[in-house]
Amino acid sequence: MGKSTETEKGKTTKIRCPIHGFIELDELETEIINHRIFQRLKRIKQLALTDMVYPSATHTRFEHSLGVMYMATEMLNSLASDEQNLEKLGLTVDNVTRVRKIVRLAALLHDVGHPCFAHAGEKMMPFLPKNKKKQYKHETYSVKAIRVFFKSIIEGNAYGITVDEVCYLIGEDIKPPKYLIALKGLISSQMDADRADYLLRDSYHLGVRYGEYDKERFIRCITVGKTEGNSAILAIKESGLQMAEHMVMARYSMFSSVYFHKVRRAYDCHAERALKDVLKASGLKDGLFPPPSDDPIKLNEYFKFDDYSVISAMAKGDGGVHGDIIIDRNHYKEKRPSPWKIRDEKNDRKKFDSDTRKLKKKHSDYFIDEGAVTDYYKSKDREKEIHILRGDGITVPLSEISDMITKIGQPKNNKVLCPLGRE
Amino acid sequence: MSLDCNKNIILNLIKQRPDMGKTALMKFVFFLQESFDMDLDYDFNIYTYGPYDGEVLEDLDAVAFEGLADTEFYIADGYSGYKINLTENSKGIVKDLSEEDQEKIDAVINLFGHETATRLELLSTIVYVANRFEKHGWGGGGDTIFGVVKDIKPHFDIATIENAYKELLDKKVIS
Repeated sequence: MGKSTETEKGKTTKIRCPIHGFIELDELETEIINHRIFQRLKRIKQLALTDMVYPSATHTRFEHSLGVMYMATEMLNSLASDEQNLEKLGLTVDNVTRVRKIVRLAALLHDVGHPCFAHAGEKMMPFLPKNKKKQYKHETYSVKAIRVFFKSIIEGNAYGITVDEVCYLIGEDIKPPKYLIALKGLISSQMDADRADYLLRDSYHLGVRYGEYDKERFIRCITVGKTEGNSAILAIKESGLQMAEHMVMARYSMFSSVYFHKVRRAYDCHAERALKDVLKASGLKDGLFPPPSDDPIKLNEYFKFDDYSVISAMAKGDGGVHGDIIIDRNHYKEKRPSPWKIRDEKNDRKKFDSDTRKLKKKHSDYFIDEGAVTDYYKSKDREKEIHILRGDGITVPLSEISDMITKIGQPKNNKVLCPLGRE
Repeated sequence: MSLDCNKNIILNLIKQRPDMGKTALMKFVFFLQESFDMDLDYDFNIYTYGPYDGEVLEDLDAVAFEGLADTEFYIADGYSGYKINLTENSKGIVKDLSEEDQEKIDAVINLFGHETATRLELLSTIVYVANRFEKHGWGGGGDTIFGVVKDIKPHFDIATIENAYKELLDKKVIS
């Protein structure tokens, strides 16, 4: 934590970040990060058990959240420096300062409800009461935490910011504040502040260079385009096309070499099973996290789980066989000829299913890792798509104008993982 | 090849309305779920471009990946879009729907099949807001339905929003 200083903006705190330099926080933001619930993020590793492969991948959601706040601010400042953008976003010079505060808070708090073990933890989320097929997402816990634990801090500020405004940007289905609706993409989209930070941060901490991209250019090239129905949407200026391609390639490389590394995937599978056992051992009969609640005591039951508490439980034996595997670093291995590349759903899938059937007969325990889909760049929709604003004012998806992106394709790399030494 | 229910619904929509765009597909699915009580389990959220759930387009991607639908990109009249159609491979794979579901798809295509992307964004936004206005407290703070829609879709004037609202009332899409 850096030194606090009194400036014309009030008391500010500067925190040194290896990615962005000094990140400055005002008194309100400082109070938030000092809260016990936010401090928990220091015990949630950004990449779960990736340190089993890359030992220095021990960075946490805490510093990532600060980085997302920094990037969201830079992106908004760049947008707001162009009057035309301000108008398209429904902002004015007068309200942009207040909006910037809201965006910063949403960016800072977007991951506050994240479970331990990153996305493996998401698999242990309870099911929705009205729909037993769907599970809660961590954003729901972030929203609950903001409403239950941070409301008095946020609403006690001089800008009159409400938790509704912050929660809307994080994804709560509430009446949209009109000056925020076009800014949702800063917090959640293919070119949001979240991935703008994690690509650089993960690269740095892993000691790889694949995730690096031209951050300054990215910030300068962000603009406002329009949808097929003439609505405002965040986009990249055509002059930033190569930078956008590079960003997609950076993500592709990170997925191929890091996020879907076979050992990392093995530990995701072990973590899911071990976490279930830990949750059961702690009294949660179904092996799922407690549901979100408006009651602070009940909500705290969810927040007591972090990487430290779960690893400690595993060390005591509460994580079962898979907990022991994690503690001993004795993971299941990839079965050859893995990965099965499913490029053609008809033929490749048939072969994969037939190979898997044979393996099931030979092995008492195994994981079929169908999650390893290289979805580094799904050309699926405008929410997840990078949009390019052409010089003629037409907004087009990057995937449709970039030969390079089109040629990458979307192979599915399925893996089968079996216990060590059992071929 | 077996198709799950939602993908089969999507393929049937494409079959019934060839050359539809991605915005149209999204909004047709929204109307089916929100106004015709079709149990699709999508999780729509509101954006500047109206109600949206990325899973609808993930399902479209999946049927395209399986070679059952084709998405053709085009640029015309100052904007870009897609034309979605079934492929030859889909023959014999797209399953007939129950009479009840087929009637719902017929109704949505009859009511909205001819609309532009711009109008579909507006109409679906009105339905989204109207259904939450009283039930989910979106009417608090002295706002009107038209005011909330205007906040989301600022490039439409209030008169246009009011007319579209009345149209939806007449068509019994909202009550």
